[in-house]
Amino acid sequence: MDKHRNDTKEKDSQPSSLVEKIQQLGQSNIPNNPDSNIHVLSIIGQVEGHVQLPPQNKTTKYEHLIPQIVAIEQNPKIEGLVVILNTVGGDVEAGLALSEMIASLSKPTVSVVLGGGHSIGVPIAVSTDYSFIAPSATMTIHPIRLTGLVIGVPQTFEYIDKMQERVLNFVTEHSNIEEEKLKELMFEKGNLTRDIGTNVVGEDAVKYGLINEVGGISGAMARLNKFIEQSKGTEDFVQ
Amino acid sequence: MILYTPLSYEDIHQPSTDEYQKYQLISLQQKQCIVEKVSGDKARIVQLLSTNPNDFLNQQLSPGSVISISDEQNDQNLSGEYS
Repeated sequence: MDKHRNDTKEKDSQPSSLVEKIQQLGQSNIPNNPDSNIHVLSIIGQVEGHVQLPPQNKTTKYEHLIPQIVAIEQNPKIEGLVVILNTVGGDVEAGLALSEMIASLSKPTVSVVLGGGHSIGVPIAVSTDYSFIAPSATMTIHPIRLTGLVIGVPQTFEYIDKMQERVLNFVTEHSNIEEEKLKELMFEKGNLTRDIGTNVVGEDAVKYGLINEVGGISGAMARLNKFIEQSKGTEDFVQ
Repeated sequence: MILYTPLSYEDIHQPSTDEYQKYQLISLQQKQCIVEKVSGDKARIVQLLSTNPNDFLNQQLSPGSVISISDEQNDQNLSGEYS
């Protein structure tokens, strides 16, 4: 008995390859934290589209996030979702896909824009039930642009215009901003030195109706917990 | 060399395919991780793909920590743990 105990002690003290293998196979003891009922989705760096960006870029890949959103919807233990944004924007369709996925979740969702939620980050930020922006965070609203091969025909313009219309529609439907105001911000001259558009800072985003409230993670958690309680209340009522 | 172009750096100097192959998506303790191969069967965790905030408190999964992987385990992990 004692010998056996000593043996195990010896094994534990050595960081042997066996122990490492046990860790990889998920057999080691993982810290026993109680499962969180709130999950966090972070939208960081550039929203990656169909082309893989070079490895030095920090990217948010839709093929990683979409299954996670499905898992959040499916898992009964998860009651709410916080979306944390610090993104420069990126692919329009990947961004809209994520936005639509978040907007169609049946569970309460709250977003927090920290640092920046630019370009396609705007629809992602407004896709949640309630949105927060840090006082120092900014959101750049500007027209859509294309990179790569562009055919110089009027149809190209129409194509881009339609794509822009999808973004505008999504943002106006999921926030309190008026379409006219959003278009005005998008096509503003002189705010961005070499570009068309507006850089909207924290409080201004709330003033324009784009974001619900200036705040941080504590506000977001408080709001989400309130939503969770409300949704539980209605569930009880149905039963 | 001075470049005067609206194109991004990557559009002109495309990174080699080796750069992409350094990174792998593996499953560690049933969590998806992006790892960067360091040498042999050693790899460093670059990113933890999880929505559970508790996973980020797990020291073994924290970005930067070096783990050892072997190819057959990878295959096993990639095929088996999507349930």
